[in-house]
Amino acid sequence: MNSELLVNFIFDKASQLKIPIVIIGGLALPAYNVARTTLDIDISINISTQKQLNQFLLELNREGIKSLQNPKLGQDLFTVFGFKNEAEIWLKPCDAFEWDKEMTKKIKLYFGNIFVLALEDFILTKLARSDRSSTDISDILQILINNYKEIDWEYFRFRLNWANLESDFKEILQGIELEINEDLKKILIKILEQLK
Amino acid sequence: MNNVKKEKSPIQISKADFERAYKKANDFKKLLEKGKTREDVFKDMLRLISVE
Repeated sequence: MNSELLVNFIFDKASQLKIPIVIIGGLALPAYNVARTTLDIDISINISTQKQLNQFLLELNREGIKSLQNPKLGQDLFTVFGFKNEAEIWLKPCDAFEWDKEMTKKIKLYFGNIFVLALEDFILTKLARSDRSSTDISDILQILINNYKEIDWEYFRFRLNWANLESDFKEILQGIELEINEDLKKILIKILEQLK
Repeated sequence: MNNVKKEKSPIQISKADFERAYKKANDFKKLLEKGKTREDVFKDMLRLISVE
């Protein structure tokens, strides 16, 4: 399968160069027990120098994976093409914030050589998007429902504060005031308790 | 660090949105119970994106 080859080569090359790399966007959702259709392969790399970026691009080029752009460190993202497919490679995990040490330290192995952001940071990437949509909110809700017991609440509270997103997150939980399923309401109450 | 909060669209979630999210979250759990792995789901999603 071509897209799988493309993803594997990109992750292999990043791994060889010791570049932190994660799947982001819709494709990362199954790592957090959620699934929906997506048309994009979104990947984020944590690169600190242009030299490192050039080396990464060179290694990809050797495998037939090319960018028609001339990617620079200050860009948000660039696109690579290979095996008849394409992937967007983000130099930031989200358009609203950049990588930091804490986030890098917390990335987790999904399977094989594929990594994803920590659950808490992934929720943040959805909440912080400048073009946040109802799909992002639905993704967040599903992630919360299926993972609320696994969330590191201390870290998540710290992250929400870091990104000035506490009020946005609490808005999502306002559903507690609606006449919703009792089990779901119990989950939302437990989450709200963790935020106090 | 760039953590400046940009102007985003307000969050508006209806009862139907909550119920739909709850159903989808449970559907995923059922997939796992049937033996699918999270890796399988990832590969299925990649297959749908793939241009052969």
